[in-house]
Amino acid sequence: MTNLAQTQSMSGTVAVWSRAAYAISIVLLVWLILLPFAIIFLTPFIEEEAGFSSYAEFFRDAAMLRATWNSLLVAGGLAVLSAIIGTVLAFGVARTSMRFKGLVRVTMILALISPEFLLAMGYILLAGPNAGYANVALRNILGLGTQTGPLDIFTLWGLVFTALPSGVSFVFLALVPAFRSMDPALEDAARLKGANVWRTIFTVTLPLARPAILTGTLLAFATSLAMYGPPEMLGVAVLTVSIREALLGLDFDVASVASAVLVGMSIIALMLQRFGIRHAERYRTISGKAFAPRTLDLGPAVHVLTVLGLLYVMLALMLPYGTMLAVSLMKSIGNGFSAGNWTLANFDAILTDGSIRKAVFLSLQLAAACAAIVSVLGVIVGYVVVRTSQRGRSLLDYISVLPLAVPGTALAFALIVLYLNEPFRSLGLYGTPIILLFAYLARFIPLGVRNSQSALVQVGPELEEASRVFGAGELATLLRITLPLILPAFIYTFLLVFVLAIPELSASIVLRGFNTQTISTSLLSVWNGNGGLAVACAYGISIFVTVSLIFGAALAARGLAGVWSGRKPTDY
Amino acid sequence: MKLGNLKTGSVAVLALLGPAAASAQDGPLQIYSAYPDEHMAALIEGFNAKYPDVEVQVSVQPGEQLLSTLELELRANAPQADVVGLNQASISSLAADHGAFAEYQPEGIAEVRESLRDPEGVSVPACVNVYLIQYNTNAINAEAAPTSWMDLTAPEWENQIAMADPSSSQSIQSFLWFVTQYLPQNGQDAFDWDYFTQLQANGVRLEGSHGTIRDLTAAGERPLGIQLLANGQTSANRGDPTSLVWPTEGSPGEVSSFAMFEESDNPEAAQAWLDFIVSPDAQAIMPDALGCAPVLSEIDYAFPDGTAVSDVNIVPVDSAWIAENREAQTEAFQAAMSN
Repeated sequence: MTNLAQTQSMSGTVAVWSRAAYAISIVLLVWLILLPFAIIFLTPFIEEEAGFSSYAEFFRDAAMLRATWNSLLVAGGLAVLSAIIGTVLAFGVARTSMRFKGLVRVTMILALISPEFLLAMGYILLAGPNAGYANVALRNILGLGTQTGPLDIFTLWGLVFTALPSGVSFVFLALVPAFRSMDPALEDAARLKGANVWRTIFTVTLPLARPAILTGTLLAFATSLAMYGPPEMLGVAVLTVSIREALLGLDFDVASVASAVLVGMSIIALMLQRFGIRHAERYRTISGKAFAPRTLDLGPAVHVLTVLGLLYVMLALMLPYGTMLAVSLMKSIGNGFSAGNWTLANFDAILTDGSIRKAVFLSLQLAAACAAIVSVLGVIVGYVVVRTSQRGRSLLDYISVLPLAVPGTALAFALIVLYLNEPFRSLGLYGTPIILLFAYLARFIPLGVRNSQSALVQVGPELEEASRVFGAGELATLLRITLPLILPAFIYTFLLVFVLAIPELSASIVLRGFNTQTISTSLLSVWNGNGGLAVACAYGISIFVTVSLIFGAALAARGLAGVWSGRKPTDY
Repeated sequence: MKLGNLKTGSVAVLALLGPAAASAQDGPLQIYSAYPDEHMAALIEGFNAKYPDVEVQVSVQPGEQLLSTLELELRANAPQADVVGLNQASISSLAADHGAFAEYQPEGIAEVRESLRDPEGVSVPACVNVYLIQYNTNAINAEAAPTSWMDLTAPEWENQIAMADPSSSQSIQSFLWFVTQYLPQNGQDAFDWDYFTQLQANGVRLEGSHGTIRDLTAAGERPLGIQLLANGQTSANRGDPTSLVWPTEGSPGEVSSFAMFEESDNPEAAQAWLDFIVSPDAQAIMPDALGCAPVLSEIDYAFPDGTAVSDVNIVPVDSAWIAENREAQTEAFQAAMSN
């Protein structure tokens, strides 16, 4: 066979595989993402036929306006504080000789993967205005004569504080690789021109890190817009809570408009991020040369960074989880740290409770199914986007990142509307774990697609071409060359989705029913009186330890595969 | 033999077997419950002593959230449980919108106090749960504790009180009815929706469930709670530093109930559950189980603090009125709290 004939035959096979992968991708992405996304906006026009008047009513409703404003304020405040603290700490860890770098890095990762409502639990116990342990201690230390304060977690700024550890870690984990991979020659040039270290940092280092700062900050912004557990527990009226309350009152109109407003704000945030990094090549400093990250000498100022790092570790990890651990060992929370008030019964209650066992089992099943499907679908979509020339492949790319802008509560609302009405109602999925799986898939597809895209980009097409030249078909090339090369990334994606899906709350709480009680909804139920605070703390500590161990396994898998270089959970 | 004849034949044989029929109930029994697991556990234990082959599974949600879950499942024609445990008003409200519940008169219903029975024959009364004030004894001395509902509006209790939010809790509807309907109609003119505006001005904290309020009171974070007796009982069992006050204006008492779905997958077990609920065996453990007063007058009962039932002014709530007006009550409450 001539070379030309070989190429023609090969391109024929490629086309078949490309088309099949494209068809699978488009069907699944439309079903799982685009359809619910459309429902969010179309409900007032279909379900209630109120149309635009629902929007007019929403913007006349003082409570809804307050919730919208609160959402913006919390997300904005969190983004600014996260950007400042995250940048300082990332710089400290990546470029200075500050102490306890490993501790700070581990805390950042734990803050990102552990469910945000666990921190809310810890902070309520610490900073409840009347009996919070930190407040009692501060009143004693400062000799305050009051019975309340000085801290009050049940406020808007209390909510910002609660979400801060994960917001900071978004910025931190996006920035550390950026700081590490900068070409030191640029800083050297500034120093040679006479700039001191601080001037170099502010005129060269930080501007070069702008895309990473923007990425981390806007991820923190979008994530806090979507947050449900902490505002619900603290009683702060934000849009996610309004969506849930509207659904409890079966007011689908209000739920739809609140969801649409929230999605709109998230989309603007993501567009701003894309706009901010539109000239990425200007900031590209990785050119194939190996840079040793240069340690800058900040003098005594480095101690400030060490203190800030330790403060972060204390506030994001030690204090909240330490308090939860202490409370989890109490017989009665009212009798505090007194002799005779200690017990392991709360852990026993968790381990022996049938409904908790059922919820844990369901969450593990859902997380495993979701992780498996997302990993495979991620490879298929990633393959279409990166390796084929199918028309419309960039559309797939856009649809697959859309869920980043859709909070779980809004997504769950859309699924309720979708599966309560014909034609989908006849599928009989409402109230079953399948509907939860749909929600989880939609939420985590961006992670799968983005991780596999990055992995595929790193695999040079020459290897696949060589395989084809030696006569292997497209499928054989995929199975023998491409998949083994991206297997480590595949396993990492699976474990990362698995660990993030286990404590999913915002969609699960809206879809909660007899057979859809998950770890997070049952924990919230225990916290809300079905067991109590001490049992909830035992449950929370158990979840924290489990999630941390699984994530440790994910990191080990990635470490073993030698793909540690640069990619972080912030890919999500 | 045709299937119908087979069924008839089987029923006849079971009837001949008499008492042994009780042990014929088996399989899973799924119960949606607004009552916490730890309250349900004692009831299930008693039930399983009688029906060991029935595997009772419980899914707990705060009442108003459970109502919403059920409403959506009924819209999808897919109720996921056999039995539901809610207060009488909530079950009536759901039954009014959906013909989803089976009418069932359990054995022994005739022994239940007539005023507590559901005239529609849908919900089966389990016990009477009353509202009172729970306070933290580490933070408040018994002498200083409030003695009336009106005392809670006093400035000294600013930022100290928690109550349930009607957008999440079903039971608080009973308290709203008591304050805005019953008391004004019975000569207590100081009570109306403005009472809640005053509580709001006094920094009352709204919580999704009475269980959270119990824990906040026990922890001292909110040392005063507008609370249900059932949670007072739980606190007493746990050794929490809390005590109860029976307010001088009286206490609204709501009927905690159960009902079975028409589409139950296990109607025999569901009926057995309802039979058990009104049986003297279940009623005797009701104070320990659901933490509330039995509905059979023959059962001796004293409240967790030792108070005799006869010493307390319990006002039976008007469940039918609440079932019809719950949405309007919630809206009026929200309006009062935003004044």
